[in-house]
Amino acid sequence: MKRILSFKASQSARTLALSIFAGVALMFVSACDPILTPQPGTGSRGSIADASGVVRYVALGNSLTAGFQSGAVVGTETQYAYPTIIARQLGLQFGDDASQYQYMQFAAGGGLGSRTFVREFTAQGTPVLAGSLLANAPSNATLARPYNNLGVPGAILSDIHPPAVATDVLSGTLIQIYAARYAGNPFFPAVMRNPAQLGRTLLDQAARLNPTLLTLFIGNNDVLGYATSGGTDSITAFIEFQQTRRPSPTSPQRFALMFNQLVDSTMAKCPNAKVVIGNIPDVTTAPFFTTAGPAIRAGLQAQLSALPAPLQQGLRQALPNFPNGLPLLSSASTGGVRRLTEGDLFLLTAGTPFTAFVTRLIGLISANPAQAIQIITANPIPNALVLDEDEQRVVRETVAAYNVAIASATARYAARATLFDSFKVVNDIQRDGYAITGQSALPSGQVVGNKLRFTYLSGGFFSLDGVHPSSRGYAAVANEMIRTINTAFGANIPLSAVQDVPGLPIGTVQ
Amino acid sequence: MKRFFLTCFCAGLFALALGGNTNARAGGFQLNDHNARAIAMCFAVVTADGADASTLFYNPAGMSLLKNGFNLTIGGTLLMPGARFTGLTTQNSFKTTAMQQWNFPLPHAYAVYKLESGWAFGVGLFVPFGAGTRWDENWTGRNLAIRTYIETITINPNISYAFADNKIAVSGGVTYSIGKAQLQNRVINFAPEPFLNLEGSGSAISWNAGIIAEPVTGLRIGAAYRHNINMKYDGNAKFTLDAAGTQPLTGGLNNLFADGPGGTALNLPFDLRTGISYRFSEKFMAEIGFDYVGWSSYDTLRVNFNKAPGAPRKADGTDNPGVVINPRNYNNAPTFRAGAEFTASDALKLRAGAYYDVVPVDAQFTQPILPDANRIGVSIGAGVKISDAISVDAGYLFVYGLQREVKGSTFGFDGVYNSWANVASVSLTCRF
Repeated sequence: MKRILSFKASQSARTLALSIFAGVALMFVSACDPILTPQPGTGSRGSIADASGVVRYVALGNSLTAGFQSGAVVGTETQYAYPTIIARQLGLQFGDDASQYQYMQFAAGGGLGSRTFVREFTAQGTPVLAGSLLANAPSNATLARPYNNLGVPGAILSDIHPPAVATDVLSGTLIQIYAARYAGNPFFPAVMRNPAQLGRTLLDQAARLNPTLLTLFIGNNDVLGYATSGGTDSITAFIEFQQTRRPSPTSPQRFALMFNQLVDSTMAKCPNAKVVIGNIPDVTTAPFFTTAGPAIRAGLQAQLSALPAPLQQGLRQALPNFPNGLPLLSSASTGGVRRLTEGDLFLLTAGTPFTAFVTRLIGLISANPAQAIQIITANPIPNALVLDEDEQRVVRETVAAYNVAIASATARYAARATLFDSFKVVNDIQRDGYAITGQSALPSGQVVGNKLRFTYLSGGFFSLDGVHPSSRGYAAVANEMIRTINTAFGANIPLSAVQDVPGLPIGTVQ
Repeated sequence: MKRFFLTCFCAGLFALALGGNTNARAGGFQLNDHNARAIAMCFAVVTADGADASTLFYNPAGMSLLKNGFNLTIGGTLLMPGARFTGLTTQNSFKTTAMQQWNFPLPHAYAVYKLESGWAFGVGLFVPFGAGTRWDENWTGRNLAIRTYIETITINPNISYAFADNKIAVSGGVTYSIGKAQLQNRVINFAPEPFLNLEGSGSAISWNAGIIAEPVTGLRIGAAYRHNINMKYDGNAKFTLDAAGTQPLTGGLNNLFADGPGGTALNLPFDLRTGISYRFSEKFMAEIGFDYVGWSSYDTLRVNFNKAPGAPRKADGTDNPGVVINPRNYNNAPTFRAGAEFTASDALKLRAGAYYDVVPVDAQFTQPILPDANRIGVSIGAGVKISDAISVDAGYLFVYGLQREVKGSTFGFDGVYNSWANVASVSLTCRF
């Protein structure tokens, strides 16, 4: 600055001419190469590449790995499954060659599952949801090698690598669960194609690709089915259900044994792979569990207020915290019935069946107002509509136990395996949001950086099924997994631009 | 002869005024590029030593120090700004996106009549504020900026008086400014991503003043002040599927993002210029100076919408009005200038200058709408006297924006900005 200021005042004509020349030269140089670009991220792959620098990446998992969202896997979105995003950030070649990256694809408009979509927004701005059943075969089903993305929606821990002749790990009893599960889930033949040639199990197919990087993200469905069914569904194939007939997640004891076995098999079958092992996030914070409650409770208040005054007064006296205190069936409570509390979570799918339930109840009460309390007591809220606090406790304790098992199984292979703490990642995003570029207007009108949030539909992190992330949510998960890979294996892979992944599609099936 | 020049000047003014309504022009928010000689000296012309009628912009007190009679200056400047963004660094990504090339012709015209009594009257036309940036419609910052365009055309009558043997000159004037603003970005919450097109225009009156003193022969001190221009823009918000603004939204997105009247206000900053010049010899003069621009007036950008974007309608079907407040958080900022003029011969003058412009906004608030940076300007130019009545000036300025690294952006937009501009100008001056 000082130099610039002092340089004019004392110029002689000659030095002025010189300085003009120098100025022109400076401008010329500057105009040709006017910027000093920062040193780019190296994109270095650390220890996840083989000796010749090649990365072969395979992902094992369930619906989360498949890129399942809004109830289906569709052709336009498989490219936003987190393994595919990671592959793209790794700079992998996409193609059918065994050394390239390939995943399940569909013809235009194709997919597999029961797809929910926003058909439109009404004049009031309310979203109108619609559904569409998709049952297409993958367009590249004849690929002569396994897919790199071996995520099978619905897969549980025991589905990744079941023994050829299955004996129950706890009892030693011979069981035949795998064939039935494979046959009963259309995603199995779609993803794990041609078992006779390409490998009998998902892990065998993964090993066939000789991965240098493998991500294993499995076990969610061992507890998720219990949670999304309001504590009514179980892994019915397992022996403890056969014995007790009581719904429960896969028992933590069984889970720990099986997970250890799976990690052992994975490390043995994929000797050249660096392995990222994901643990299980807390599912109860997903919008599937947090969205419907307020509207249902408000609806109940309205129903109560519409009743004749004496009846209403009687009910309010009997249930001072209405609707809390209403009887509710529960699979986790002693005696099977509990009182509805503030912390009980109505499921996203509860709306229509709950309305039917309430209509029937009101009919019964209106016909016999004197017996209102007795009628209510005799007709508890169906178990399948609510994940109550006792069931939530089962879910949380189960997830915590699973995660202890996953961490200890991973720690046994510290040199080659690392933990992806999805439990923490999801909790952090739930609490803080996930920052993406841009501006969004808060209710106050203040414009701040955009964040993906957990709010149903408008939050951006979750898809319309309320359980699975959206494309952007998956991109955020991919970024967190890339951070884990970078830290654990000395890589420097750039993160994906979350805001450049499409937001929630409006007006079309996909 | 006089009549011929006057006719030319009026015709030129008319053409510029017409062009002003249709042409895109601008390229940095405050524009100083309103005369070829001033550009060649990096605007260190506040004491008006050796000035032409364009002193009406830089310091109107200089009007009464011009030669007696008509002083006309008319010309144009071509602004060629450029910028690049590299990032997002939060994503460990160092992808570089170049701003699309968008050049702006800026007109300037000044007419001053100087009386022997020391009084001078003049009127000027220039574009004191403007910005134009254009990024790809699919780029990673598309929800912050795609197309931004602001222009303010000002007509500025002034009166000036010199006394005490021309050792002191003072002046004052009023400004009438017409402003136009266009903003385009995208709402990225859903797919498809609607384009938001905001357009507005307005006008405002403000004032300006200047003073020049020559306490020692050859040494001049000058100061000029232009007051804030408080511009209110009335216009429209329009949401479309395409950048051209023709395809309506589908899927009921128009119920979330509805077209309608909207508006905003910009308080264009005050500007205080100061300078000290010294005439070292018959052939050589130089000036150093210091400007102070009141950017703190650009604190927030509030855009009023008839219907709040993204918000549902009321139950009765009417719209909820909404205001979107963009924090800008600009601060007052100085610029340091130096310029010199060397009279090589009776017919030829050579000029050069340099300046350092301190960025008025903290890195965390920097946006691709206006990739602001500390800027260094270096300039050269020449003036050729064709006859006693006519001279032509040319100036070239290169503006180099120092690399700006943004960390912890308020808008979640961390990265590195590089910016620059080439500025070329020609002015024709007639005296009679």
